[in-house]
Amino acid sequence: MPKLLRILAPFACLLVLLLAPRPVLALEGTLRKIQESGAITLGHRESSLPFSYYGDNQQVIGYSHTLMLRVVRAIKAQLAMPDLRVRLMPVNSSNRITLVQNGTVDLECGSTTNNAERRKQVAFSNTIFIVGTRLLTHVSSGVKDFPDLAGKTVVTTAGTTSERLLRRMNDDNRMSMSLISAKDHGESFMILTTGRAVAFMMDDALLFGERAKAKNPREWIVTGTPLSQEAYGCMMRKDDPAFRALVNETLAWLMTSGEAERIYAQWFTSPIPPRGLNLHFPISEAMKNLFREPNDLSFDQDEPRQTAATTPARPTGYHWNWGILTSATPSGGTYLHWLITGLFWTVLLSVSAWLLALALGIPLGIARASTHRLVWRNLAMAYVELFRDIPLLVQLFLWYFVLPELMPGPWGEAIKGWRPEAQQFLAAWLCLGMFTAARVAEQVRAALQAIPPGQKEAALALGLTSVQAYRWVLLPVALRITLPPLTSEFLNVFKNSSVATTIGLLELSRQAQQLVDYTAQPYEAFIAVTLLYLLINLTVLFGMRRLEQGVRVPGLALEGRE
Amino acid sequence: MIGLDFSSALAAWPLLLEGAIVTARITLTAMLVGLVWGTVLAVARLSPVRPLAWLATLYINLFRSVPLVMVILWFFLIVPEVLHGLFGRAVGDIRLASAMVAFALFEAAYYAEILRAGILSVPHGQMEAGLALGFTRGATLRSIILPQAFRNMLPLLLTQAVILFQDTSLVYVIGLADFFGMSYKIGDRDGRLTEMLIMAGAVYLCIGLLFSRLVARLQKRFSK
Repeated sequence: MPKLLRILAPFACLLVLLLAPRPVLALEGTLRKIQESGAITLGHRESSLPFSYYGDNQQVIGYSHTLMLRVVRAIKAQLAMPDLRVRLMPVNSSNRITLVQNGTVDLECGSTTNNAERRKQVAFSNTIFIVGTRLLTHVSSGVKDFPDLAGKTVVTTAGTTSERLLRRMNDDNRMSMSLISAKDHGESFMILTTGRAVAFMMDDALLFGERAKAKNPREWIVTGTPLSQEAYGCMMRKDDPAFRALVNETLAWLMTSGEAERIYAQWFTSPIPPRGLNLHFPISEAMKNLFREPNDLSFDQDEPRQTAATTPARPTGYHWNWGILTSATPSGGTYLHWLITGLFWTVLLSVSAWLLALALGIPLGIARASTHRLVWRNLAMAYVELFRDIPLLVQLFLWYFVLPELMPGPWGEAIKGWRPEAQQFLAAWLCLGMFTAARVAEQVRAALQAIPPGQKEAALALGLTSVQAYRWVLLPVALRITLPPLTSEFLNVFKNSSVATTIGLLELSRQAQQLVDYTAQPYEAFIAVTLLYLLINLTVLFGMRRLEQGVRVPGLALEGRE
Repeated sequence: MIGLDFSSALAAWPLLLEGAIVTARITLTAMLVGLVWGTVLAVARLSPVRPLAWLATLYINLFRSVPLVMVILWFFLIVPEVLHGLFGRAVGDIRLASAMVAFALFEAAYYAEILRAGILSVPHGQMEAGLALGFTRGATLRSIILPQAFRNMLPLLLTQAVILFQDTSLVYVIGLADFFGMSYKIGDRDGRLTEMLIMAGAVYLCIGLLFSRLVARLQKRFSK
């Protein structure tokens, strides 16, 4: 019987589509855009196993992705465009909504929870999956349920509903957990497996998916009473009833015809790429009910369900709302407070890294300029080359991810036991400080070499030792003439500190992205953060100019400044 | 940590090559467009027409005060939406395009400053001599001043190109898979992140060393 169904399914699908009334002329919104451009852009995830992820050879596969491709098939049929080009666009939890809103992505089926907050920004299709938010942890961690997390470090993925739930739970119950928000599920899982967090909170199906990626899946268990139920839906732009109806009809047909259940079995109870593991995640009652009666019910019914007919048309044009900065965040405080926190981290990181850079860079520069001690000179040169020729981002990842793995066991474990901010800060501080030290060293070397050799000779002739000659004669002059180029290096430190956003440090540019994600007011967030950077820049420039004027050496300068 | 296993780097070389091509495309586009646009900006900044000079100064200072990460994000998340308001919807995957535009406009500000210094390094008498010989200002600039400025600044321009090449790894923040992004993804997929990060670092180091040697050689030849 199922075999017969499978053979007949495509024909039935075709029949339904042929019989369905097709208003050819009245195309609007997304369908019209697709018809005019001859292409559709699909948003997919990169590591939401088994919903939407890269299999072998960077091919996107997964449960949600399969459903999405079925929808595309229906779109091709409806528009009578068999050669419709399909573009794939990877999205992550923090940018997916913006990308759907701004027209980059037409349809996203991944692992996006349908909730009231998001329905204000995008439209959701019929539910494609129902999950509960639970915990993944090591079998020996002793964590059985959410209350066990008090005082521990927990990781979750940035921009997900789990992140919000976890923050709220932490504040409401005063659990004093340390929370890490990782960029993607893959990164969250890595933070868990490398011992930086005791548990990973996420939707259970995804946790089973991540668990399957582990070197030894038996070491990891999914545990805890679900904190919430979540309904995944496909996202598309708001106020596009025709497109939404087509997506929903296709999904409903897949579910009621038994096709969806077959797709479910393919991804959740059979071996899947890339390593042929079986998630063993049997179909739940909730999912069976969904397949029987497809619907778009979400589990947060605090707002009336969105229906295509009653939604007011979204007025075109952007709504400026600077008041958003002073409105409250979901976890208390205002968004302005987030910006100030970001500013604090940026300044703290930059200034402390700058001090490290000076402490290392000046001796390195002296060694670089020395004419006698060849060993020291070569060592300093090797340092400069090493830290100057590897991109800052790569260095940061090496410090953050690789160093604790390469350190002797107990040391690495000790670092991983720190608070997440402390770990991120340590990595960023070392990275930025040592990177900048190489550049400071070059400036100091240039300055020392610009001082006429007679000065050193005179100092030595007067009976000063070599150290004294540097301390009292050469360095004071060198540092003063190197001040202008050092100013621009100092400014670079502030700018480079934004790279720390990639390991999750909540500095300014990370706050910009988080603000966009939470408020859906991207212009205000980006303008505010950019202005703060300009402010930092001006402050530093002003301060350093004053200093330069105070210590300028008449007649000696490295670079002519007007 | 126990032994490192670099086999996934070898197995994934076609993907790494794909990433390297993305890196190369961004670097080259940003270099060429940045150089041309940077020259225009440098000339504008030195121009006797005040508003033009102010605009160029504003552009250069603005781009030089904002972190590259922010610029990349601006051009990925915000600018397309503004353009969408003005010209209609953007279609498809704009990551590579937005990265190219962001890098080109960003690098132009840095090239402009280098070239401005280069132009200023040519003695003023040359411009006067050119004018006295009956060349127009533009012609003097084009055929007398700029060639010398480029020559004087070649080492700095190349150093900036090496920095640009390294900075392309920052497209990571918009999820574009350049050489580094691809290495990261493969490491993430295969559970071999440590090895892939070390591999990526080593490759960048080799290329960086090669180029800085080249620049140092050029510098020697030019200073003779």
